[in-house]
Amino acid sequence: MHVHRYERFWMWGAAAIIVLFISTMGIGLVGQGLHPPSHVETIDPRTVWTDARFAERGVVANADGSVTVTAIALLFAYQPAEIRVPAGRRVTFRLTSADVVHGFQIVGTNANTMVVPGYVSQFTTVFSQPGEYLIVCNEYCGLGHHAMMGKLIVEVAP
Amino acid sequence: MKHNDPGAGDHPRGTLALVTLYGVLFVLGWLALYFFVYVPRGPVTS
Amino acid sequence: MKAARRLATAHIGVAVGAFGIAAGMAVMQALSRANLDLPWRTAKMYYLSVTAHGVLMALVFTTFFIMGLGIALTTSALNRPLRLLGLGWTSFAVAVTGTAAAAWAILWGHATVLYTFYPPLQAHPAFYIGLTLVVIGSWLWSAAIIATYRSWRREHPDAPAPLAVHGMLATITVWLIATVGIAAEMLLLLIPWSLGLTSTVDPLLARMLFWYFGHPLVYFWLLPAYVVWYAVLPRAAGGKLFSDSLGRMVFALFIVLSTPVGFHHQFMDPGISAGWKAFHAFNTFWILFPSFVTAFTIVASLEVAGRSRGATGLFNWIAKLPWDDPLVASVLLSMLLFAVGGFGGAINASFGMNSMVHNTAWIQGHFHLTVGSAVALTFMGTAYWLVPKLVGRELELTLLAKVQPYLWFLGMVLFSFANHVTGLQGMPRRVFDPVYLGAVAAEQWRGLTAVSALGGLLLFASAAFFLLVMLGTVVAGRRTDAITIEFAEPLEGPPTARTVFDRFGMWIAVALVLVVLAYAVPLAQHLQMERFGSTGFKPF
Repeated sequence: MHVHRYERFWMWGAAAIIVLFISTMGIGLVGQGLHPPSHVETIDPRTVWTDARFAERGVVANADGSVTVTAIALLFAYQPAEIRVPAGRRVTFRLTSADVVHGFQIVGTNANTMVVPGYVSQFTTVFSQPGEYLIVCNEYCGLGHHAMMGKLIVEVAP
Repeated sequence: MKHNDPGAGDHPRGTLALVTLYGVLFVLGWLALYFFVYVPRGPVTS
Repeated sequence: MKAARRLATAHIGVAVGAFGIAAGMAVMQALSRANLDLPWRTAKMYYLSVTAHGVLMALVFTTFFIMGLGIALTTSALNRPLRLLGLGWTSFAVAVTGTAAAAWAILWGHATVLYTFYPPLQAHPAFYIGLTLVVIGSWLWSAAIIATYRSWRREHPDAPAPLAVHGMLATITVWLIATVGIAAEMLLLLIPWSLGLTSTVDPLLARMLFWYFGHPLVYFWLLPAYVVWYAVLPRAAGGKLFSDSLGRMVFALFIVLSTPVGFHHQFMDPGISAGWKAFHAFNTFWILFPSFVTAFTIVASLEVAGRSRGATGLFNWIAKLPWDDPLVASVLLSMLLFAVGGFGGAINASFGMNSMVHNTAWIQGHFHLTVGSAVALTFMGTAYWLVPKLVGRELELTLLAKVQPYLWFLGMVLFSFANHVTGLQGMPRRVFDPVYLGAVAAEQWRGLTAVSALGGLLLFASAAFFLLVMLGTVVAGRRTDAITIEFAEPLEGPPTARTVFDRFGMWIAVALVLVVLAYAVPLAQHLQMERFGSTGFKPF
């Protein structure tokens, strides 16, 4: 099979582009642990409100200065709806749904995860910029989907 | 390599120029989004 | 062959009808998202129209058009009637029945679950059963096409299949592997659950099965468009196909790469480990390769065409192409739009970086460039070329046909630009009203949602032109005998021997191995976890 010289050049170039993308992702993964939220933990969606892991919701300070946020997504709100965290500290979010699949995205950040009933979503990030951030549900969940929102307040750490 | 069509010209120079330009823009665009949007927003780990 | 033409016409007729209804839904959505307070505008109507638009465009218009195109191209290229013609009509009837059932459920408000229908959102059983019937119809269609090919193969044991047929067979291969997933989701999970035979469903398992199917679905859509680009366009543009063998390679690569990638639609899902997501991301990046090759081969074919009309400079052959031919204009403009759509796809595939765009407006920007342009605009152009041959009438309202692709292009540029930018600014997809009680972040999106709405209006006008041309042609086009389908010829002459890329058995085997590698362990691990299912919700 004959391939024209120019097209062969392009095919090698295309492969190089693909390798570049894969390498960048790979370096991010191996070097800095950059990967999408991929926590594996199940929970009974019928009893989330009383489950030991979600009965106390909100922000908890940990001994090492980091912070854990626990919240439940439901039709059509987050509980709690307002979350205050310190800037510059590691913040771990733990989320689950009481009903259908929701999304949880903190606008202007990379915090973006699906919230699936029967599963616990968990991810960690650092907010360097103080301010107010809009939290939106970005997975269609019914007629109130567009009204489902929350607020993240990042405060200068004491 | 034989081309049956003599008017075709043997080498698609315009095509090479266009796809190479596309490839360069593609890579620059990807790198721009990665380093100027994704990284500054604070990547997430788990 | 007349029977095949009639069957193909029936399929394309349904496709165009579905397109028309879906286009009406679309303009309602575009105006709604720009906060224009029109009389019908309620959340209920909005989400119903999103569901109708998605199902009719992405599942009905596409499937029926592809089935009709496949029948027309296969019988033409192999110069024989469709085998199992009765089965072909049965498949049509089954698919139409399924469409009617699903459409009833959606339009009567019993299935406002969007075209992804993620549980625990629960629709009326008719929705799931209807869509399953459409898939079953497509399986019957596949059998008829394969039977037609095999009858040709028996008479030509050593000849390479015509490229158009090679591409349609690749399409069918991808589809048959893919639909195992959706069939499992429907038959094992959603239909029994919606009928009350089971009480709970695991939403994550449903999503895994859906996206096992959902990614190769886009290649079910794209490969027939590529068949037009490779096997019809070069001739229509006045040239020849730059490389037939690379075309075969591209189709073979899609067979292998289409399915073991589905987790890239689930990067943000809990319950799936980062390792498996990384493996799927790795596979996904390689799918760029056959499309990059296609870009070169098709553009080079166009350069051949332009230079054959006397162009000598580096780029002036572009101007020499027949931009006033509706098929050529449609395909060329769809390729330009796809060039941007492919870039967006690379961003989507980029693992952690996906969080920047997941479930934002960027996503609808992206897929309107791909299925909405590379596929839909190509299909509209193809209809201008094919329908006259099927019905034996000349194209009517040709001025509208010439203008329509440019109007689509303009509308799509506005629509996709606006949505890509607002997506990066965090605006969610699928929202009735992006106001969020006046939040500062939401204020940022306002100007561009108006641009998106304007784009939607232009797209709707373009769709209306297309529908008028179709109607006019079928009803009032001047009768003609020029109904022969002529395929593009390769520059190096027709292929004489089968190559490795013609060996479907081998490519299917490789595809299945990759599918097992990509899905067997994560699915098995998932099924072994202690899981809690969900009952149904109907928050609509």
